[in-house]
Amino acid sequence: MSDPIPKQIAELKTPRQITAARFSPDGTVLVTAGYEPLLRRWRLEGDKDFQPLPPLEDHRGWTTGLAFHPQQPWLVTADSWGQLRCQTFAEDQPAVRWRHDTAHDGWIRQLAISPDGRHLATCGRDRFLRLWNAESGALAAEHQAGEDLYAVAFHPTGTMVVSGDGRGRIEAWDFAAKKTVRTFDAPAFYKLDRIQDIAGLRVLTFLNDGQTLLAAGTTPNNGATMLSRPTMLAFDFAGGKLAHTFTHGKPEHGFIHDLAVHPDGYLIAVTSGSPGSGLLLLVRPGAEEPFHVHTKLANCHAIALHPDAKRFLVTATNRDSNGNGRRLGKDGDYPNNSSPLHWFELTS
Amino acid sequence: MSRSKCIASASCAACARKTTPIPPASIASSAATRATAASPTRTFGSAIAHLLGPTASRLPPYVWIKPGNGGFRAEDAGFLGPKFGSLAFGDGKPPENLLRHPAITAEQDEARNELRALLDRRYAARRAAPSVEANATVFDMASELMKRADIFDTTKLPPRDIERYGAHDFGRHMLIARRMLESGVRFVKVTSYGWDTHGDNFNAHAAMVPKFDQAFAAMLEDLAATGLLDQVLVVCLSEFGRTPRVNGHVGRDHWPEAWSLAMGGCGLQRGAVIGATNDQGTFVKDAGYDIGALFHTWYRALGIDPVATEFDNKGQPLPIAHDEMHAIKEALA
Repeated sequence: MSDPIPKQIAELKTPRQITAARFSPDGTVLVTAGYEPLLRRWRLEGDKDFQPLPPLEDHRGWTTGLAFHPQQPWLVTADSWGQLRCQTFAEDQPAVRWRHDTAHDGWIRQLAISPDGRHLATCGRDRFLRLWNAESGALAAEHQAGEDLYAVAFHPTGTMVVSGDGRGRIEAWDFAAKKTVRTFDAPAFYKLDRIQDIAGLRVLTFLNDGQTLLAAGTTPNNGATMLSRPTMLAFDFAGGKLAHTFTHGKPEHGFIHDLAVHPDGYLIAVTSGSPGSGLLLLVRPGAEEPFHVHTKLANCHAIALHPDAKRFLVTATNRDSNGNGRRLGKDGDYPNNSSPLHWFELTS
Repeated sequence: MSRSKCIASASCAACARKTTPIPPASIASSAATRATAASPTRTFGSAIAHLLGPTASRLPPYVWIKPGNGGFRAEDAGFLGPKFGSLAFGDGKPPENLLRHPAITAEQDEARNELRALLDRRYAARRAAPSVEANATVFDMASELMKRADIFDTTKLPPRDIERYGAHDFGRHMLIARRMLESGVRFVKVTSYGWDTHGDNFNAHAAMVPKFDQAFAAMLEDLAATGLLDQVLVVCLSEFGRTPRVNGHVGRDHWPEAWSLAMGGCGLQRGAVIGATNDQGTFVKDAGYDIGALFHTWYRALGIDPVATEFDNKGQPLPIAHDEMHAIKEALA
């Protein structure tokens, strides 16, 4: 069987920058989050026709995370001001099921829903990992970590949740027993440069039915302008040992901001580093090199794998997103940056 | 602008009123160092050293505490003359070999200095005075600093203060700065680098701003508690702001169109918030203030008349602040 090759089949314009994107489990609705207090929605009709739906409003600050419930028609979303809410998503006017305005003290960085759909987990800058009842929204448990938490994921068994902090410490927490059962050290994801603590971790996920814990992000070289190399670390989950390190690209390639695990076992990762640079990587776990690298996108922040596993969407950034000082548009306004959405199909 | 000069910094420093016998004050930064159009000197610290001179403590009038290397920076003073340059404490440490070598007695040291002074006088008689004068000034500074090594001896910093200022480089530098102000240094500049966040801006600031706030607040608390804040001007600034929009690297680039600074202490109105940007955070709403207006304001706060006072550049009178600008009245007490 030959390696799959992604082929771009459409591009969708958006007016603002997008940092997270996911498809509903039935594949009909795409929802995105980004640098604005709302979530944008599209209905996918046919192969590549994305019809906009009214945005989901009433968030505050930036929307930072979203996840679809695996069985119910519910969408859970979070923002940088600490709001967490659950709502329906397919209608023009979705109904909010429950909502917490201060689920965390400030920035909620990530959220995840357990495979059985009973729980959802959130983590934030307030150092808390919180577990919620997905149906009622009731707080089920919480755990305070030592540092700012960047990533969270459920173990496939649904009994444990892993979280990773800005210092490269990853912790597996048994939420029923309310105790830490394992820790993983990932010093590659941390560097102190002058007084800047640089956090490299961005993504946690599981492979091989939970036997492998995969952590992705960057290995920082220096702060401020931020030069760093895309990195993935694979841990033997039972033993807690680092099993494999994958790095790719140059220091300007920056972070792996998001990745998807394809049902065929390979990974699709997107990177964003120095303005204008962006990689789409297809790589098999344990491999030293990706089997496909796409370099034509700029500053990719999210990937949404369609449930049919034959198509995926990458959120990127306009190529001229940076620049010092005043650069005004034709009508004298100060232009926003935006995120083109690139729609790919996987071919052999 | 060279790449190295693009590195943004945040700085703090202090100056004393001319009329008070005790020192102090705070901040200057690369904004001041590059404000040649507004001030004909290279740095504000050198201007203050020239205009107010050292305090009765005889300690150096202009100390710069910075990451990296230290040493005497005569070039900071421009036409004012090298003796008004900065004495840089790299990483908060005094210049190398400042303290008398243990193998040399105090008497031997004194005899050597007398010989040096004699040779300096003979040398100066035949050559341009400024460099010789600067050389002698540096030796005098070193001599006074040797007597006050306790100020920057980090092994003797109180643990409680270390905790309050923060167990990081900037906290240590600010703590040493406070001790220098208390001991009689006229002007102290503290620089923090690494704020040029073209990438990962928000996480970087989340890591750095609390450290800056901790040390800055601790210094203000201490100056206020001792009453020194009434005699010290404290300024915190950088040379430009960051772009309102976020680039693809989640960074923010240079934005010289509108930005803010914080200041307090002697001569200033407390609690004033002056100026505003538009609702997009892009440009200044109404009239803005140039760095020249700030020089006027700082001089006024320190009791220096920026209109009546001039520099003498080898016979050429030069204003100490932009002669088409004026102090920000709302900022002055």
